[in-house]
Amino acid sequence: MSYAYLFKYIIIGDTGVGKSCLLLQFTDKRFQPVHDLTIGVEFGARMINIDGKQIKLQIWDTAGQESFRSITRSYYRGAAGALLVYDITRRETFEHLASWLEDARQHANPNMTIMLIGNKADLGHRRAVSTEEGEQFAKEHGLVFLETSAKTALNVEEAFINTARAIHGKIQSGVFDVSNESYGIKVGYGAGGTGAGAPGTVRPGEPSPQQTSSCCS
Amino acid sequence: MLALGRFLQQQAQDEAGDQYVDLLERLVQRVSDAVLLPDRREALQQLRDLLLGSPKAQLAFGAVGFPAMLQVVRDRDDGEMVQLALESLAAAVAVGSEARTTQAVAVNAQQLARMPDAMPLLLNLLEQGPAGVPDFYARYYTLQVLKGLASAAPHHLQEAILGTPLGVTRLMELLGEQEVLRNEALLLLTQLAAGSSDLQKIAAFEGAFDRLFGIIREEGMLNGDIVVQDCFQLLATLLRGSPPNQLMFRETGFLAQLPVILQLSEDGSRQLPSQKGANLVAAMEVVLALLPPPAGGPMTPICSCQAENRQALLHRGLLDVLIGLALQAGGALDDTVRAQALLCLAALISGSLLQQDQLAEVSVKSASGEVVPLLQAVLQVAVSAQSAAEQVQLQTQQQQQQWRQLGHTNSSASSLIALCTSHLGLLVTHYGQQPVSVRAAANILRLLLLWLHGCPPAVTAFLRAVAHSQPFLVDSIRGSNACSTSASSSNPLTRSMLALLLGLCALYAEDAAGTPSQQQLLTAIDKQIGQEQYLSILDSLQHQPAVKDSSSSGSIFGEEPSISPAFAACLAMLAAEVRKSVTGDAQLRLTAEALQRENQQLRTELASMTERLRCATGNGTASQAALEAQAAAEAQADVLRQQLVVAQQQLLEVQAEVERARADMTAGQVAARKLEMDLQDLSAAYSTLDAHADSLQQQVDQLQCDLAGARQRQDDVEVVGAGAQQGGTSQIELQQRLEAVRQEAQQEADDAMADLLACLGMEEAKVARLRERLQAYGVDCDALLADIVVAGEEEDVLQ
Repeated sequence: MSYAYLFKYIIIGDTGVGKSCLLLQFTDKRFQPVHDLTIGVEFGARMINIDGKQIKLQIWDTAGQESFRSITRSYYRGAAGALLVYDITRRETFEHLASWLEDARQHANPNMTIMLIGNKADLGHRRAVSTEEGEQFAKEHGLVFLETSAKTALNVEEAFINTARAIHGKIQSGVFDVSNESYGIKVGYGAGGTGAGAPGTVRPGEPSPQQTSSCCS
Repeated sequence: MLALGRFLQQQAQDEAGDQYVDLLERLVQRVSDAVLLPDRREALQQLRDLLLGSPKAQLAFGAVGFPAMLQVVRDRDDGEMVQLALESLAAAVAVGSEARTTQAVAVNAQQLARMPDAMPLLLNLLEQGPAGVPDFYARYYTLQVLKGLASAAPHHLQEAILGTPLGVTRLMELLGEQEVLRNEALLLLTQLAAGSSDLQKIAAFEGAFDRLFGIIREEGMLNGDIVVQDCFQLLATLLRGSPPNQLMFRETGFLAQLPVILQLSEDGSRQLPSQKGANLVAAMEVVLALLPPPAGGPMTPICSCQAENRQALLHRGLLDVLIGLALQAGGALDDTVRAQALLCLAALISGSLLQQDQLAEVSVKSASGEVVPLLQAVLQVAVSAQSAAEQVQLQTQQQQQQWRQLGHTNSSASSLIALCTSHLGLLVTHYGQQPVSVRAAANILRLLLLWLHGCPPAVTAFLRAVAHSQPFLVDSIRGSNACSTSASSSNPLTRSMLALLLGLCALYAEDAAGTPSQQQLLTAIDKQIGQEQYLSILDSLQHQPAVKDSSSSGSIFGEEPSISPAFAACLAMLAAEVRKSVTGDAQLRLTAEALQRENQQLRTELASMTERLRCATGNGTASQAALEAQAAAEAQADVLRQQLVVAQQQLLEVQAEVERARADMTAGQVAARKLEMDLQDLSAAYSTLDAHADSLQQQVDQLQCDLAGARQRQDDVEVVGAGAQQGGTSQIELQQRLEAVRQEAQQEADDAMADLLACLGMEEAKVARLRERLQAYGVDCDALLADIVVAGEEEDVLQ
């Protein structure tokens, strides 16, 4: 299927914050409560539509454990967008954000769009990080912020799509040299046109071949 | 300068090593410490020359030279020096042509790979722009160093590259560089990515698929040179065993291009240049990476990722492309291409009935132009081709299901079986001398084994085909074939597989008209081969080199028959099945016979005991009570006998059951249940005997009481008789008679008691033996006996 742009995303954050579940919810629209630790990096893909342009998202789900940190770093530079995820019920995952951000700033290209995600919003009764704190952190570091629930799908679409919108905006304003693929952006056919879909609509994804799991081992 | 270098080289080759170690150390020191650049350059040149010629120098170089060389590279004061230092490093770690250098190279490579900052330094050289070294030779030798490390210390290098930020990225970028560097990078990446899922994924993240397809296009697709082959090999390496990469390969549309790439143009000439053939084989390697052959046999369902791969490949018409390469009009004129295409076909339909059915309906043109069903074409290849036979069989394995359906529905199947059988016969009896026919026989046997397993109609067809020559099977297994000088019939693998084939026939024979029945076949195994020998031949299958080493079978086209791990597992399963039926049957029969014998003994003993009891009763006329008790005992014995008759009846039923169980092993469990009931009855009989013994004892007591009473009365009579003299003699006579009767009765009661006790002992032994048997059937005897005791007690209470 042809696309105007291809964006590469990575999902980063402490182990157990729900990175893989976010990806699964976004690509397959399902929630898997028991998920083994991500070993290394898994992959998912979906087509979305921004301003009438078909945009292909390729998303790499990374392992949060410290032992995989150096491998995770290999993915920073080639990514156009990153979802930095913490768990609103576990304060330490929020406190580690600074270290993740430092890693990203050091290894990623400076124009990488980072979306801060407070996941597990469905567990409000066990909340350990307030929404305001999340907003405050995002504001201080120039990130976009959303609270999501991979379980109820709350804001999951928005998290991925808003990130794509921000990247698309940067392309339009000429921040990126899109011919340089190391920014995690690839120009497809029809980048200039309006694409196949109606303007402004968000497509839930391609038909059958798109309904795939990222973990089919 | 050059002369000096040559001189040094010469010396290094001719003389003992120690002084060169000194020389080496001096040179390294000069490289590090000399003030003037020309001096350092000169020392470095000499050093390189020394290393290129002398393994001893190479071995000594690692410890002293690496830090100095890396320092030169780090400083980057002088382009020529950097280049020379890298060349020296490459000479120390790159595998040369001489065998004696390999040890030095391995030691050095380990050493270099363990140096903490070496890898980032080397990888940074490859960076583009000002950060890296622009010089072609410096980059080239850097790659040579890395390639040397990848061969000698792959895990260290993988770790080091993963630990270096952008390590893989640097290597990936080389794919966009000048041709020589690009080709070197391709080989290096293939070496590295194999076995490291992280490297696989990072390479894919860095756009490996895009770049590789780009190179393949640039180089002219299948018509390109060996670089195209390298690209396909790297693609296969990146996809093999990596579901995320496979998903990405599908999602980004690369998978969809595969069938198109594999499609040979229809310009008439099917002649393939050898490089084009190699490119095709490598491209099909990518298909196999997406659809690995299942480990658990042809009917094992595949995982969802593979299912999606298959769906996408089928959707893009891969089936037709592969049929074209493998079979259509004889297929591509290249053995390895045809074999690989057949392997891909097998992978494509494996585990999917739907696809297998589809394939079964396809017709292809044979080489001679006639239209035949695809399966028949495959079979023709199977029996005629030699190099591709192995592959064909692999595929056939996947098509087991169709063979089965064909056996049911298609009358042509029986002619196919007949064809196979006659080929087999020829191979085993006449052409056995050549190793080729051993392999061909193994292949045909494999085909037949898979075909006949679980398919009675196919077995019938086969038995019809060999109807006149069933002794041929038996003889070949026995090794006493008329033509047993042939290699095939004495080949242990062939023999074992023939034995297995016969076993399968016995398992699945339909008892159809004109073919031997199951019973006949089993008898043939039993009587003509001997069960023990038959089993040992079956067992020897597992020890055949071809089966044992199935997982490591290296060459596809080797002279020895090689067997895939899946088929080896399948063979083991079949052998176990046959073994169970052959031995299980005999075991059941033995058990039944033993039970019958015991039953017979039991009956005789009971009869004689009853007889003796009757005698005892007949003689014991002195006491009415004793008589009554004896009558009761006899009645009880009758009951007992009846019960035994019932038990025997049931045992006969069991025996009949066992006879029927021959066809189906599960019936053995039913028989076991019957036997359980029998034991219950026998135990009941035992407890009845027990009760009977008790009652006999009571009778004896009663008799004694009676006698005492009688004596008392006699005493009374005597007292009376003292006054009446005329009754005296009769009184004494009576006493004597009474005494005699008492002793007689006592004696007989004692005898009966002894007999009873002996009988009980024997009964006890019976029960113990029955208990063993039942335990062999898995019956819990203790529980059973406990139940019986409880039942007996209840009866006692009722009595």
